[in-house]
Amino acid sequence: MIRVPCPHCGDRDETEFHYGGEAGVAYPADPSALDDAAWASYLFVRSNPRGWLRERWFHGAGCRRWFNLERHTVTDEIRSPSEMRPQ
Amino acid sequence: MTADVLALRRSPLHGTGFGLAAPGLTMAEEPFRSLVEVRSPAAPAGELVWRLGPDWWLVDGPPAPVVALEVPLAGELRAAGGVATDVSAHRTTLVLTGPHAATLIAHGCPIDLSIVPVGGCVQGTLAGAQVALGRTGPDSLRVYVRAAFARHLATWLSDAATPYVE
Ligand SMILES: [Zn+2]
Repeated sequence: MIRVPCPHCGDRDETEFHYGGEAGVAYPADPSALDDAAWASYLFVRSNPRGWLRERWFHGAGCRRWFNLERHTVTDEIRSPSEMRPQ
Repeated sequence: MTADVLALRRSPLHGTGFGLAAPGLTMAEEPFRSLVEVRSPAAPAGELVWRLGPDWWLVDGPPAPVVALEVPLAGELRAAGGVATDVSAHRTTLVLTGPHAATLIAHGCPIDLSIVPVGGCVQGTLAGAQVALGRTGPDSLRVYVRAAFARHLATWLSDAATPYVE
């Protein structure tokens, strides 16, 4: 169990959240112009670093807001939470 | 006609016998409260208003035979772009009082309630059920639980309260 710092509610147990994957993956501007490989890349290919990763989290059992944070994928350290702005 | 409808109403804990009156802990259901969720930057007017999250409020009022709070609240909020929705049937309300009330909740809730001031509210999980917890006094808490989880939570609370029944 890790403790996730919600920018609105403070530190809460991981079980209150949904994980939203890597942050900053923009929806393609013109999806119909992509070939299959480019579409598959958008859907499935992520940076998957061994280290710091910007992620999206959703506080489903609390304030029900999406936000971003940075998590270290090896140590589970978490830093710099910031609210996810709608694009 | 209206009276007949009210007589047919059954709270989620109807028939469970939920309730406790011990020296350091009381528990009771307050069924059929008028509950309205409000989306608005500023707090809406009301006797019991809880902040659920950013721009998100829960207004708690006495039981009423009709949807009583939604329309006046929606009228007040409209100018500022706020909305109000009656959610009375969404949850039931459990009231816990006494010096053991917060301790009892701590058995199944990882949130530190000691940092919640009087008038403050937190949402989280209690015994696995999603709840809103509002503090109305140093030793009194209101627990808003979804109707479908109410029996589970009432059973859990009654069991967890065993050490405080003298
Ligand atoms: Zn939150």
